[in-house]
Amino acid sequence: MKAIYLKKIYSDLAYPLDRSARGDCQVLSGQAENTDMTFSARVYIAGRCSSSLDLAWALMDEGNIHIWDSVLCLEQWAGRGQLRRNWISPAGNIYAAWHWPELPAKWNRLTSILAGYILALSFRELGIEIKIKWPNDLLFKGKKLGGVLVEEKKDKVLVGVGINVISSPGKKCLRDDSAVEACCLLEEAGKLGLLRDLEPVLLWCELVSRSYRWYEHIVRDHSQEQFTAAVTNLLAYLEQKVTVRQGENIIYGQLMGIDVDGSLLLKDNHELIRISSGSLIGRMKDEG
Amino acid sequence: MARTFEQVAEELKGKKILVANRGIPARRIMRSIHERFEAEAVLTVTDVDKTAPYTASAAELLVLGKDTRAYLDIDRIIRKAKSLGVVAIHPGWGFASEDFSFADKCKKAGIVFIGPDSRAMNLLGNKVALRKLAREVGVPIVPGSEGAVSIEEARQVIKEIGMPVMLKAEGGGGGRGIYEVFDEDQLEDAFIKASTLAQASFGNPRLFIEKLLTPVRHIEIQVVADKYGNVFAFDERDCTIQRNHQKLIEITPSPWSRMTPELREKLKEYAVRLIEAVNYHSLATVEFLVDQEGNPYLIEVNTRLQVEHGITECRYGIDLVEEQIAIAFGSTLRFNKETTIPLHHAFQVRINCEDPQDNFSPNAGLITRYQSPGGQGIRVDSCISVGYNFPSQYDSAASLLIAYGKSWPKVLGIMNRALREYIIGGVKTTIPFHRNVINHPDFRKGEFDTSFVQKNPDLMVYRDREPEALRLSRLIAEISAKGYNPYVQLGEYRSIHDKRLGRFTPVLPEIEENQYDYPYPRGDRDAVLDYIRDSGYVHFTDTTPRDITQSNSGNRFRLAEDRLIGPYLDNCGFFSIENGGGAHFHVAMLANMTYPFTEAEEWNQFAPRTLKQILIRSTNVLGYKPQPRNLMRLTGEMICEHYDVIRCFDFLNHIENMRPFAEVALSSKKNIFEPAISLSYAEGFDVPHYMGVVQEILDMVKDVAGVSSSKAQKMIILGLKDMAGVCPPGFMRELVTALRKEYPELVLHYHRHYTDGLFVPAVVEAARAGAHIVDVAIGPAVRWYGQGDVLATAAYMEELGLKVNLNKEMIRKAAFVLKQIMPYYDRYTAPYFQGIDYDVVEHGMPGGATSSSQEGAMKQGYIHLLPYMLRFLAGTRKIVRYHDVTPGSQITWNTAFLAVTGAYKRGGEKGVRKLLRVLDKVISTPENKLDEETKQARLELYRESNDAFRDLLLGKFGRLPLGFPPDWVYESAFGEHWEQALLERTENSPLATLENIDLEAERKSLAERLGREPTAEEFVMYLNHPGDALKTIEFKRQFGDPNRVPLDVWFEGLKPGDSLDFDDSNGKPHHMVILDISNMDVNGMSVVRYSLDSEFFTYQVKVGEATGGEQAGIEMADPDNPYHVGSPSTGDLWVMHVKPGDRVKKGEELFNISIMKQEKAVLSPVDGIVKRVLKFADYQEDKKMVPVKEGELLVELMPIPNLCPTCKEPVVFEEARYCHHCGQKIA
Repeated sequence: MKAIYLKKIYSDLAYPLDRSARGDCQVLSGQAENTDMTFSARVYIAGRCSSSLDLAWALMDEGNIHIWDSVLCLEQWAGRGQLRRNWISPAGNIYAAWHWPELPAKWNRLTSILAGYILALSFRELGIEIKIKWPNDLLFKGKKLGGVLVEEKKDKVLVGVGINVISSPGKKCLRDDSAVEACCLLEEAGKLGLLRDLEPVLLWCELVSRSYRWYEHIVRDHSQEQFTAAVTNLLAYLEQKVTVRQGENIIYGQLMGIDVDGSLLLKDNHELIRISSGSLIGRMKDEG
Repeated sequence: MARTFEQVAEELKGKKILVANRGIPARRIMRSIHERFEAEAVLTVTDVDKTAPYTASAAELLVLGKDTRAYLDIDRIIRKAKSLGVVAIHPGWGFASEDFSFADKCKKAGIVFIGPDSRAMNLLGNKVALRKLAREVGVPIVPGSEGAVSIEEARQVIKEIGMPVMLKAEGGGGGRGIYEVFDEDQLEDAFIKASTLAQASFGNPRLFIEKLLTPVRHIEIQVVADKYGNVFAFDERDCTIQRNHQKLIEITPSPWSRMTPELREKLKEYAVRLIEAVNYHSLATVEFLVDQEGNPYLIEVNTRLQVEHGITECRYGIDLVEEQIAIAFGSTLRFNKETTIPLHHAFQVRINCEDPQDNFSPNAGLITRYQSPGGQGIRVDSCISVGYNFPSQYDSAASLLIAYGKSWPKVLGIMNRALREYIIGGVKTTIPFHRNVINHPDFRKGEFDTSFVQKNPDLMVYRDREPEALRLSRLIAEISAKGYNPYVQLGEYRSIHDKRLGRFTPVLPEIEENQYDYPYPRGDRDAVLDYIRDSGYVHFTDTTPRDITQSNSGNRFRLAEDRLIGPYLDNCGFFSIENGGGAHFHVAMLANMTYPFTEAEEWNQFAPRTLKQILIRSTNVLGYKPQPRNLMRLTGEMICEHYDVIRCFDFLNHIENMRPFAEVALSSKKNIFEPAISLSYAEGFDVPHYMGVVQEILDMVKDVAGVSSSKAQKMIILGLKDMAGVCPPGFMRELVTALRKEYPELVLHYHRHYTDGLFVPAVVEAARAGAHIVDVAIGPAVRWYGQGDVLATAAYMEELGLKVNLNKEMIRKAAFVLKQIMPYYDRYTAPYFQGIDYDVVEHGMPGGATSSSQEGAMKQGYIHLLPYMLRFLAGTRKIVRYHDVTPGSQITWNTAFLAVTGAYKRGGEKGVRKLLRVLDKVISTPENKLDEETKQARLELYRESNDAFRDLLLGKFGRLPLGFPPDWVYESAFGEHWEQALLERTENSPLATLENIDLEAERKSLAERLGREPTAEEFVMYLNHPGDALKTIEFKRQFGDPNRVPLDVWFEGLKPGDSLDFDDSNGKPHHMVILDISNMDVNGMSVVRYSLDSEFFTYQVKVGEATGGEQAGIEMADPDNPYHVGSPSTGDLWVMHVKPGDRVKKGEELFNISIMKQEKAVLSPVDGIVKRVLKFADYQEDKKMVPVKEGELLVELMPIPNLCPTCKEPVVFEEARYCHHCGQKIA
């Protein structure tokens, strides 16, 4: 892989790295290039930016970003989650936007689940036992380590990835209805010595090259049935009773897995409920 | 204890057998359950499958509920089966058929499992166990590891067998879980991934390693064995045609040249050896890869019935499922080498609901049409029918089509025709792809390997098109539901309830062959002209198919009716038939949806004798603006190919403008070039003036052809074109007499219109004076603005002693046919103002424009100003002097319209009268006698003029025939910049400064828009009128040839109960009956139900605006309408960015759909204005999302209204022909 620094200032959007930080990064990018010689995608590294997705769309308009290239910002002042929710983005974590090809028609609906799943598999290869909270939040020991948001315009697909590396928002900062507490790699995995390095650039390069291999493999060789069955095995709360919020409605049920179209399957008594939108809040309180 | 088949059959009679499957295998197995055993079939169904067509074969359904994966829930199925009293379960293929525990669980429940026992299934089905077994019994296997390996062990194995290799999941199968590794460096990485994936996919991380063989054939042996050690192996099935390890086509016996009897016996023997080794019973398939040297390698054994079993059945004339059931109940095997003899070649193609052109993506949906092939040698195992909503939750297999016969060429032939017979509508299928495969030479030779599909991307190249009759039936349904034909561009000229003219059933008199000899030697220019000069007759051109119907029927006269009258016209004795050019070329595309040169080509087929004539507009050729030379040449060549006589005029008589076209036309000995002088009748346009113009023409011809003056006279026809119909008989006599005297060898062809009412006397005077040819039309088509009647004109000529050579009987027959046609055109396409208008000699408005311009004034609410406008027009013709011919006449009309309405806005009718007083004074008083006040006042005359008028003054159209008008006209038209205008004006031909266009770039751009290479005709159409050409090309793709629709239906449609017989373009007759046209629903939709050739169809037509209120259904976006923006998929609308009235740019985000955290931005496909927003959401504001369906219309846009070229105000009404601010005519 190849690391490229953003050189230009995009006012209101992004700024290059500070000179002082760049020195460190040059060393890092040397290492990044060693992580995978066979995978030629590039990583654009920016300093502060409004959000890596915004910057990636802007680079896309300029024609500078190719498929499998990604944009990594070290800090965001307007990071976003789904439905324009705020994503708290202090320095030290991963805020990336990754350019995917348009998926074959039958995979299209599964894009966001696929993105979460292959990142989870990559983490697992690194020894971090990630579970997936439907549709694609990354949970580690029951706490949210990161999230994925896919944005699509015409035939262009960007996968936004946020990973809490050295810090995570405290309980007070989270939305009232947020499902789970947040955690970061430093406090959880770091302590365990599971990762050699918690440098965002290196970690991101590692994740990208691993995830890319998974992507190729799954999209080429898997049917949706196999894929969704495999994702089900990594789901958090599997077979437990959970709560899903759909607008004003609250739906309860036992989490059975995901259907071939990616929707969540809940069982309430004998009825099977398919859920394709809403937030999975978590285990029902009365179950402890 | 061994039993006979008959004993088993007796036992099973009336018993329940469960098929734990769905789709094709369900139907296939139920057939065998009924046929010999007369048992009752019970079938598992989930909710989506409850009403699927194949369930009809089941006596009873075992309902599994909502969960679409319930077919895998063996325990539940067995439990329910038990309670229903089922005696046996057949697992089919796929789903739980290879679950080792199924047989044991059945046994425990006391139910017979129709398949092998669990132990044998496990020994053959587990790949590592199988390899071990194969080694023990001496069956060759693909080199590789003995069992599951670690990475280190894998490296060791690679040292022995070499690269490339495959990593295979121990628990995988059916082509799944295979990882190809080509480079040893990738091994570690690939190994970890494959292993994790195997764990995730199959619950078993263990991998084994095999050599990757390439190129190879995939050959398999079907085996059947009973419980008593009897085993029979059938001839091979060749399953080499695959895509991503998924079989697409299976063949028995293999057509491969290296498939020898020895190899066949060897494979069968291996297969039997394996089966016997594990004491297996039931059906099994032993699969091998065979390399190019004919070495087989065992790959796997399938311990179940296979999708491709049918071809073995066809080869031997047996029923494998029946045998399988009997064996499960203890029957002895009925097959042996003596009695079970191969009879046929057979092969199967898998018809899947997939789009091969979109990477074989599955597409579910409603099957709107289903017609199964049949006949000798065909077997169809299908699970679909018309009206079936093919579900998206399961695999895409729709049908298995098998052809069988005595030889490989025969079955190829059977399959080829069966694939043509097979019709599945509503969803895309693999049918056209299979047609390409089986017509591929390598496939036919039997020479291919497993990468055949991958290596031949051209297999995906085809056009998947519905039959023309079906497409035309939709057009007819649309016209019928609307009550009017939207494509003729005449607005909503009638409604569905209006009275009809009734059905058009023309009576066509017989044309007696060989009763008439056409005298003109068509195809030889000089001979034709010699004949005309020497014959002593007056000759005639018939304009019925072009000029007369252009002037009186808005050019809507179609090729369909040309086909009716053409054969008569061809035998009337006309020198030529004018059947193309002018506005006809454009309107053919704009409103008749017809390719103009295809129309000309057909004319030459149904009317082959008579010369064909076209009219072109000098620099503009067939368009409305000067054309670059290279385009003119390209169009010219195509014109010369289809027409004999090319009449070319320039409205300014600027002869130089005709030169490029003369170069094309004069280079051919077949084509006759007819340069025409535009005639007016006004001061300055006298005989000496026109004699000068003729000399210019002859000089140009002499120059272009490189001949002498006398030769130049003899090689062309001179046209005399009085388009407005203003030149009086006396003037024509004078002009023709002078021309004949000066140029005795020059053939003269006189063309004039009827507008002033003096058609016959003027034409006869010209003929008496020596004009050789005159333009006329057939009586029933004669109205006010075109030509006069041929028989009336000829009669008066004969009375005056002139000779004509017409086949009058045939003219009467043509008239009779036309008489039946014209009422339809008169009702729907006739001009608004009608009748003779002698004042044309003053105002000079030509042909059909006489009526249409005045109609425009009325529609704009200025009828009270019309007399002033005509007076202004008459006056202006004396100041800015040119001919009353398109496009000059339009320019003058617009100038008059703008001047009069402008004066009216400033000072009311009083102001208008004042303006006209000034005009009268200016034209009646010599310049030196004009007072200063008038000189000042006349500057008001052209202050409202538009760009076209100013361009005319600048010479941009060409040189004005009587020189530039006086300077004050410039001062009036250009205001303070008038002196600059005087400097800029030119007398050069506009062609001098026109750059050639980049034809290659244009061709590419068209090819891109069409998604294919355009034909030569389409390219010329596009270069001349891009927008309308694209519209017509798209129409033809969507509906076919509209000239197959009869006249009454074209304008009025059909009503419920009406039937229609029509022929398609291949001459095949079709029968259509309208059954019902529903009233408009709240969404503005009407549904037409009809039958076509005894098949039933429904077609939804948008007939009006949605009325709102309760939405009965969801309004879907029309995928072909760029102004309809629908949801790209089913999901939740969470933000809508626009509201009605917003102006949006192409590419701007309109709304966003969330599908499980995948946010799809939907962008505006065009620049436009938001007309309707059907659903709204603003999640950030109210935390609410709105569910939407795929294809649901969410935003409707409309075009940004045209801006008036003159005043730049938007033109709000689409149908407006004049700007309501300034009166500018809008194109």
